[in-house]
Amino acid sequence: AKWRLSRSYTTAVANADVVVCGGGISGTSIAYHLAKRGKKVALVEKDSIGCSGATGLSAGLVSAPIFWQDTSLQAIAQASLDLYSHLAKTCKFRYVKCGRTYLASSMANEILLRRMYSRGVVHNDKVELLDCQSEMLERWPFLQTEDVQLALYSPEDVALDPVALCQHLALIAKDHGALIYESNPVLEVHIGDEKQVYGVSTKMGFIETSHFVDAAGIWAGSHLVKALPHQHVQTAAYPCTYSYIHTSKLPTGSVSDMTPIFNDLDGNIMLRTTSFKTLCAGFSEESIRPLARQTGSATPWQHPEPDWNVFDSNLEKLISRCPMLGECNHGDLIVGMEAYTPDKLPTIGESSQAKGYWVMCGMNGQGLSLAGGLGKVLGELMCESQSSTADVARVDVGRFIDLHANSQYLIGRTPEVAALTYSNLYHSHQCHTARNLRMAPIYHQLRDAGAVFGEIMGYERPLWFEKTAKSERNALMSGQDSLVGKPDWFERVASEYEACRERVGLMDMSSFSKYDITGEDAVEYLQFLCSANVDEPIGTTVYTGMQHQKGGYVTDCTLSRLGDKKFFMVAPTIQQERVLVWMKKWQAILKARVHVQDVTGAYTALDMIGPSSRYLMGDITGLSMSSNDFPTFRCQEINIGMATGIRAISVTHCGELGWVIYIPNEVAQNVYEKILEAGKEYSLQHAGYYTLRQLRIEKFYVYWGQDINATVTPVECGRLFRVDFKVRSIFSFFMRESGEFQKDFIGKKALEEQVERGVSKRFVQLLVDGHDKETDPWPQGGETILKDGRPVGLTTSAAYGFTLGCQVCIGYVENKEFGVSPEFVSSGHFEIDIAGKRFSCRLNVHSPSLPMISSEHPLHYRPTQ
Amino acid sequence: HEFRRHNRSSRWNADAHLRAHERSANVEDDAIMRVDTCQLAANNPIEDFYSAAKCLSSRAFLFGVFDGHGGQQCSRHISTNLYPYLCASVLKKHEIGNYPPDQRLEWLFSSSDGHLPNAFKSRETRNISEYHKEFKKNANAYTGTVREALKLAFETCDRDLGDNALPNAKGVIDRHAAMVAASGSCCTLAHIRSRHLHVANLGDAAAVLGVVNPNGSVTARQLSRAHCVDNADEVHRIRIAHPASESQTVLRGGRLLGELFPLRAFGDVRYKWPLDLQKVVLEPLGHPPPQHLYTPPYLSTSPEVFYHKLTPNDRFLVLATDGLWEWLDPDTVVRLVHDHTLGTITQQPYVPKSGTTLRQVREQLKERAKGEQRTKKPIDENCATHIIRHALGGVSGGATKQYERLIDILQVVPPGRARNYRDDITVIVIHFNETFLDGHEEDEE
Repeated sequence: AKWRLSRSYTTAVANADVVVCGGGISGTSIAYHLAKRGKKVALVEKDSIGCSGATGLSAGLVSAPIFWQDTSLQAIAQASLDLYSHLAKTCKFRYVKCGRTYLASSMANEILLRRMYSRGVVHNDKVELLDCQSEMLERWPFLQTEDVQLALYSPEDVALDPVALCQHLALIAKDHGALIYESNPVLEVHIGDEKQVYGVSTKMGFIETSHFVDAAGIWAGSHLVKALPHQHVQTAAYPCTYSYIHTSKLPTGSVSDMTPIFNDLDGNIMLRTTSFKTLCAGFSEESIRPLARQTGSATPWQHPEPDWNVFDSNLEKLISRCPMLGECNHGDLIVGMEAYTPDKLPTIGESSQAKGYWVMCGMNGQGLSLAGGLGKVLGELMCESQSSTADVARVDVGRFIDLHANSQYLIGRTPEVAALTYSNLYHSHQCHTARNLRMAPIYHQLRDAGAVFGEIMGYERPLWFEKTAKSERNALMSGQDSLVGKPDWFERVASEYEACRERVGLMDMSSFSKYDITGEDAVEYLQFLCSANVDEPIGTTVYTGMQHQKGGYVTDCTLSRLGDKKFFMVAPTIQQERVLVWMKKWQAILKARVHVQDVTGAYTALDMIGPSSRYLMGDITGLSMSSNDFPTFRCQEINIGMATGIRAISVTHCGELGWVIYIPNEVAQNVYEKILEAGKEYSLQHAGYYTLRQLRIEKFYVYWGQDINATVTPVECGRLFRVDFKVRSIFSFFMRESGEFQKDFIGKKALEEQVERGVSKRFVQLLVDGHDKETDPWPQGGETILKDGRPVGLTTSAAYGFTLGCQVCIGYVENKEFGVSPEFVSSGHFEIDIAGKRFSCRLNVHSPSLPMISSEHPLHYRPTQ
Repeated sequence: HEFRRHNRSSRWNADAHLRAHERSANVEDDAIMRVDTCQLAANNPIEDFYSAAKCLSSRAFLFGVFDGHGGQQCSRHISTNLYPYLCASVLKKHEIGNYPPDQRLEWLFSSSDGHLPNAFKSRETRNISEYHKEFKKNANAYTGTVREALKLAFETCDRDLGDNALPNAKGVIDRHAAMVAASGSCCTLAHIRSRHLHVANLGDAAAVLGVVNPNGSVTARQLSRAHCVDNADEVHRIRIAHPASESQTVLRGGRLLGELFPLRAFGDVRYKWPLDLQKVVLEPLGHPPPQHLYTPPYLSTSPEVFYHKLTPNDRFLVLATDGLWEWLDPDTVVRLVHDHTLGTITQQPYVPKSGTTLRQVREQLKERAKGEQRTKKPIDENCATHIIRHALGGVSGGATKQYERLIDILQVVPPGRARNYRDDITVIVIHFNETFLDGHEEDEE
């Protein structure tokens, strides 16, 4: 790339370690954090710091961490608050810790607030719950609270001046050597050999750099990058409008700057009232419009015209909640714009499309609450390649694949996401827009069989099967499970569960990520990436983790050896892009002669679960499936009827006996029909993903992304027996840094240290006692675990254990000072707090043994030991 | 006046007045679905004309609006006589079937009658066949582009129109032909062959395309530029075509030679012919040459041609004379057409008046919503009439207010003085066939 540099740009006006594009809260935050870490930063803003984008138009409200269900986001929001309050002490700008009051008038939102309260108590906040209307009226006489069931007061929320905040962040960055260029739009990001960023053209001139951070808000992804196929980096963020009214003070003496922000969860409205103005917003879906994708950072921000008609439904709810608002002047209806993502979570990290091109965008209307902490996390990622502040899996660019960046997909999805700005989403939440995108070839058969679908990575997978399904029904689940009492699907899942445990169940697992790994160096390359020994005979399947340098899970996966130098890898659905990027990264570093191919879309995966699966498989293949001929953790290419090229693996992902067969898509319908036909004899029943979930949690089977992630090591989650510490066969990879041939898998050293030192965190299974499934709030994951009344950890996922006959949670207990010894787990009284209600728990550190009525069990498979 | 306004029959009168010259044609051929036209006169007789035709030899549709000035003769002449030239200018590669040049034209409709005196008619036929031979010989044009063919047709049509006015072998001047040549006409013409849309423009009428966005709203895309002093390129073009000594006189008071507003037009030979020719032909008929006529021609007949390939998002094309654009901007016009197709009444977005409280805002919004339900269906079936109604009656204030304004404009102002308040208005709305545009594209050149 050098000659190109010298030819087109005789002089670079500057050079920097990192060029940050965007002077909003995202851009100034990352510039601040990088400058403080000693990086030479150039911040480029097309207009002026803090003023020209979503930050400048925002109301300046910061949500306290307790709002988020997800622990990573809590940590990120906490880091933001810490940063802002620290700044407010040293710099002068408006910073009011006014708090926020959430109002709930329905049962669902009441439970939501109770859960938020449990989280708040752990954070040691002075969170309050109010269930008495007259007390609410006394505190906030201007509100109509007759229908409010429950109010939650969160004291940590802040109202601040967003523009001044950005300017102070930029100033401090400048003090640490950052260069700030205002009125200087980015014209082009230059990438050279191996798609590495080498510079940025701006209006003022060329800046030489190897790292570019795109924090351009609604313009993110619009910068010209000529060498890329679309001439820009594709991001899964899309601009949408939101509206709020800015009007005069409420005609009452009872409001002040310290009056909390009000969020009415059922009306989906927000009110911020002070002694000199009132801001009121509403987030009804019909009042939100997607905009055209911004085509270049140089184009001006076209303010959409305010439309009172579409805001009317919000205004109605605002006036009925705060009748006095009706007497205020009409004020200004302001249409703001913000970038939204398909899953309402921000996006940070290095794009896989260009090396050194980092993004930090898609704040989903919570930019101020998250950007301060995200800047810190991204700084850690850029400087240390791992974040110690929070697990990044949920916010990292790697969670998206191509389809998420498609404009049409985003236009469909983002208004719904924008409408959910102040809604708390749980694992079971499903959007109703932009659905039916990726489907298995047998989608319609499954639908006719009663499937109710949920979406993951754009893929529709059956969650459960209705008993009598009308063909004209809407088969797409939307919304989320109720947080209290038995969910709708309970009886159906009970029946599917029973089939999988005692007979045979058939489950569509096509969404799982699948890869073919071939090539001269395949074995050695995988031995280097995986913590288990994968150099097993052909036909063996190995369950293994891929660890990063600090020992945490990059992913877990099953590797099936199909040939001498040919592996078939299956990883969790959400890992489709992330794992591929990880593998390709190491392939390039090692210069390994391997070919990694994503074949997710090429196969339909059917999981046959249960004791009868052995006979069913025997019937359809004509082969012996006895425990000698096809034991568990084996793989084999087989034929079913006329269909060939089917990969059968005797691993069910839930600990039961069974096989997953990977069928080439073109023969999938044929094979599916064959299985159904043969399955009649064994009373085969369709089962959905929810059944898998109950099965695997009861079996203490942890899932990447829900229970384990990059911050958890095999030692902590009871999977040390899956790690092979033996010195492996000689590696052909020469590591430049250490100057020697590589003999250890990635993360081995960290794991050895941890085994030596002991761990301070341990994954446990909790069996909940005294829970009435009809009336009590159900665990969702994220509940506090208490030991002798003191919080010691959080649950990560939860299900109903049909065999154990109780609620079962997976979670971790933690003891940062003294570590988690066997005594720590075996002694004391453990409880979990579900929406404010405490339940006694029994703890398991190993998978329980689950009795069966019928015959066979695969050697009492115990995933956690 | 008060009496008239509240009289139901005056509403009926206003409707009748607006609809007197409306016309609608379901074409349903290739890209064209339906065509709506309407016309409202201010001059007496009207100086605007429109016509639509199909060229059998190229299967191209031709739609034009012609805005006359200095009399109606030129615009009337052009509205019927330009099309044969266009039909004789079919490119070699587009020729279908073996139609002789004078039998290629299939009229859809025209606001003028095409009947000409016999002598005149035979001369026209002769002109066309000569032009056709010339066109075929001109290898460049014949194998070239539609743009070049359109330009040649426009220029030749205008040349022949001027030549007709010259004295014949016996020294006799055809009075009618001289009147045609002395008056002038602007023209905006759409040439639509399959998915290929060319807009040729002379003067200040305009063509606007309505394009639907993914979110369902519609935006205007201008497919012509007005040739008047507001257009810097035009001013530059004219200034460099004449010596610097004329820089003070060539454009004065925003007009060509201080007289003519459009900077390109058919006819208007007073700005094209040399002085001595004008003295012989025009002065005896009472058309004195303009002042400062030093280096004619000043007026161009070469059209500016825009090309656009139609996509399924292109829903309709509006051609209208400047009489309309004085009242409405292109964005409003496309919104009107779009709402009309959706069958809803068009209203301006609600903006609260100062001093309104938020409670009153809600009441007013409710009131509006009720009004919208009552009058959800547009009053006019014809989309072009719908546009003219909103041009004159305004787009805000509801039906009552609109009728008040319409009655004022159409009936209270005495007929002869209408020209002082507004110009003739002609509107053609061409609705495209979405299914055709969405369909599989046949292999073309």
